[in-house]
Parts: sequence; structure tokens; C-alpha cells
Amino acid sequence: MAAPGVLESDVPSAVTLLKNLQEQVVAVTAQVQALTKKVRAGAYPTEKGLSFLEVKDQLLLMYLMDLSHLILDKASGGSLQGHAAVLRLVEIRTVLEKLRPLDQKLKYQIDKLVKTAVTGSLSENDPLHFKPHPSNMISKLSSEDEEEDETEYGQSESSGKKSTGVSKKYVPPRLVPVHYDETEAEREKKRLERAKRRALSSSVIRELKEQYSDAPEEIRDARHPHVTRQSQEDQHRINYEESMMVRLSVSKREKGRRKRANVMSSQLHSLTHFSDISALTGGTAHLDEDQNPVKKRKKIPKKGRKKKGFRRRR
Amino acid sequence: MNDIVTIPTGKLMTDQLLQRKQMVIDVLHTGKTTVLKTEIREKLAKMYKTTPDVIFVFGFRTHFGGGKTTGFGMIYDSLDYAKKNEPKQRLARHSLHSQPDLSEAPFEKAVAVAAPLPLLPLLPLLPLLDPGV
Repeated sequence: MAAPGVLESDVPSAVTLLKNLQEQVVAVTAQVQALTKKVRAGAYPTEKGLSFLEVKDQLLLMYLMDLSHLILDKASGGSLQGHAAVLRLVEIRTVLEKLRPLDQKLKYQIDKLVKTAVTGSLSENDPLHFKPHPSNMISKLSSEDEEEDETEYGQSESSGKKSTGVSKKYVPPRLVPVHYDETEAEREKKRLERAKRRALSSSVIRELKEQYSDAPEEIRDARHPHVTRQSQEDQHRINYEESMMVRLSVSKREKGRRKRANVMSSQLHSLTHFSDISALTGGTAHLDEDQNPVKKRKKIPKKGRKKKGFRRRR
Repeated sequence: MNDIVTIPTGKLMTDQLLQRKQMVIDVLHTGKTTVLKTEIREKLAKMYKTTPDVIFVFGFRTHFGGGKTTGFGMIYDSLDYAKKNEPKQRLARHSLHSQPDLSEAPFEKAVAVAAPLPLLPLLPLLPLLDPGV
């Protein structure tokens, strides 16, 4: 029991507090009565709403009821020890705590719905519009491979029959769209980098390196360091022929390419023509008469490009 | 036939589904021209202890400079399997299969039959027709 002095000083503040309480109680009762009238009239139908929110409503109401019960008991001087309402309150509290993460997850959806209801429609650049589509991230190729295997197996079973039994509509693969923004400057940079790399491995630079490095001189089998594309293609062709046991025909274009590649590598051409190291020195690219100039990208207009008659095979 | 070496290379495979052995053949023949397919078949027959008529070889290409030729070969378990599984043009090379001659269309044939006799060879006999000589 507090000393009578403390009680004395507390009395005026207590009186003001009680007066405030009374006023507030009157206001709250008026509001609650209005709400109950509306609910009784059926102005707030909740069957088609989120059941989660309804559960939360009910729980909060029960919590309030128990709390008010407790306050009533306490105000009339009773003890709260082992009160039944306390247990109920604790139970409801735990349930509400468990519901809180769910509430967070639903927050985005609820916000969007409320906004739609309030404004009537969503604006164009609404940042709430963009939804992630994780199903786009899954590669569709694995399922396609399985289908292919199955059709192949079916083919080997019925040898000689065509495998176009079921005509499936062609659906183009849905890939994750990536933004392309390679400007002309970036393309130039890439080209320059490639030219630099090629220049670094040219014979001139290599000989300079050998001259100034302390490493012992290595004499190796003279395989051309730039394994040409033609030789790689030849190797590929030979591998294919041997494994499939067929002989492939060589087109005129292919023959020309091969001849050119052989001529280039077997002449004394490489003795006097040094590769272009202008990428390192910074000058412009100088070319001999028999070398192709650097390809420049031309903007070919798509319209009016109809080629009638004999079309040259590229 | 000496110093012609036939080497079936590492791609030797027994194809059970088509009842044959298939392989890549390397023929070394320094100083000689490209080896005939019949000779290669005989050599393979000796190597695999079969008769040459179940052996089919094809696709021989001589490397630049001569001396080495690479091709493919197939050895069947029996002639029946060979007739069943080998493509027709290769059987035709061994005269086991004859392709029908489709070069002449039936209409042209009929026209050729009904055409008049060729007169050009009879030209030197023309003066004999002249009466009163």
C-alpha cells in the first residue's frame, strides 16, 4: 500500500484521467454501435473475401473480449491469478504471432487489391504490376530432350516407317529475354581487343619476346600457331566420315576454300608478309593487295531486296 | 601382292543388329598405284578367315602423295544377311542384284519399235536401184 502522500498527489491526475476516459468511452461506444448496426444490416459481406483476414478478425475480437473481461475483474478488485481468461488470452496471442509471417507474405497482394478497389484501375507504370515469373527461369530444353529420345526409340522399333505420326504444332522456345544494348562503340572496342590479341601472338612479337626473355630457346615441331579454320573443318570432316562410314561430297565452294588455304600456307608468302600489329602500335591497319579488307557493316534495307531469278549460292 | 599392308583401324565394330563387322581400312602401298578392291577383299578374307563374297568394301580415297589409301569395309556373317542388310548399289557391284534399267520411258520404247528402218547404212546400195544401167 502506497503512502498517503503519494495518493494525495495522484488524485487530481487520476480525476482528469478518469474524465478523459469517460469521454473516450462515450465516443467509442457510439462508433461501435454504428458499426454493429451496419454489420447487422449486412453492409460488410465477407464470404468471398480472404478467409485469412476473417480468421484474424475473429481472433482479434476474442482477444478484445477476454481483455475487457480481465479489466472488469481487476477493476472490481479481483485477482488475476489463475484466471481462465489469461490462458485464453495467451492462446490467442500465440496464434496471432504465428499468423504474422503469413500476413507479411500477403501484404503485397492485399495492398494491390485495396488500391484497385480504391482507385478503380491501376496506372500504367504501376510498380506493383510487375510480377516475377520463376517458371521462365527453368530451362525447357531438358523436357524437349526427353521427348526426342522417345521419338527416336519409336523410330528404331518400326524401322523404315516415318516418325511423323503425331503432327505437333511448332511452339517456339520461350527463353528469358535479355536486353541487348551493344552500341557501335562497344563493337569497335571488341574488334580492337581481338586485333590486339592476334597481334600479340604474331611472329614479329614472338621473336622480340624470345630476344629479350631469359628463358631457354625452344625448338619445336613447326606446326603453325594459328591453326586455321580450314584445317579444323577438315579434321571434323574426317572424323565424321570415319564414324559414319560414308564419304561426303565436297562442293565447289569447299574445294576453293581448301585450295586457298593450302596455297596460303605452303607458299613463301609467310616469309615476307608479316602480320598486322597496328593494334599494338596504334596506327591504321595496312593491308597487302591479296588480303581481304576489314568487313564493314552495311545497313541493308530490308525492303526492296527481292532477288528475282537465279540466286547465287552463298 | 607383297608389301601391300591392309590394316583395319581402331573403328572396328561388331554390329549385331545388322549381323556384320564394320571397320575403317588403311592400305599402305608405297610405290604402287591404288589397290584394287578385289585384292583388298581377298586380303581381308584371309585375315578374318571368311570367303571374299561376304566382304564389301567401299569409299577408298588415296591420300595426297600416294602410298596410303583409306576406305571402309563390312564383313557379313553370311550371304543371306548381306543380301538383306547391304544397300542395293553395293550388291549390284558384286552382281548380286540388278537394277531395272529405267533410262528409257515406255513411250519412247514404243516409238522406237514402230520407227522406220534405218536408211543410212543402205545409202551405198542406191545406185543398184537405178534401172537400165
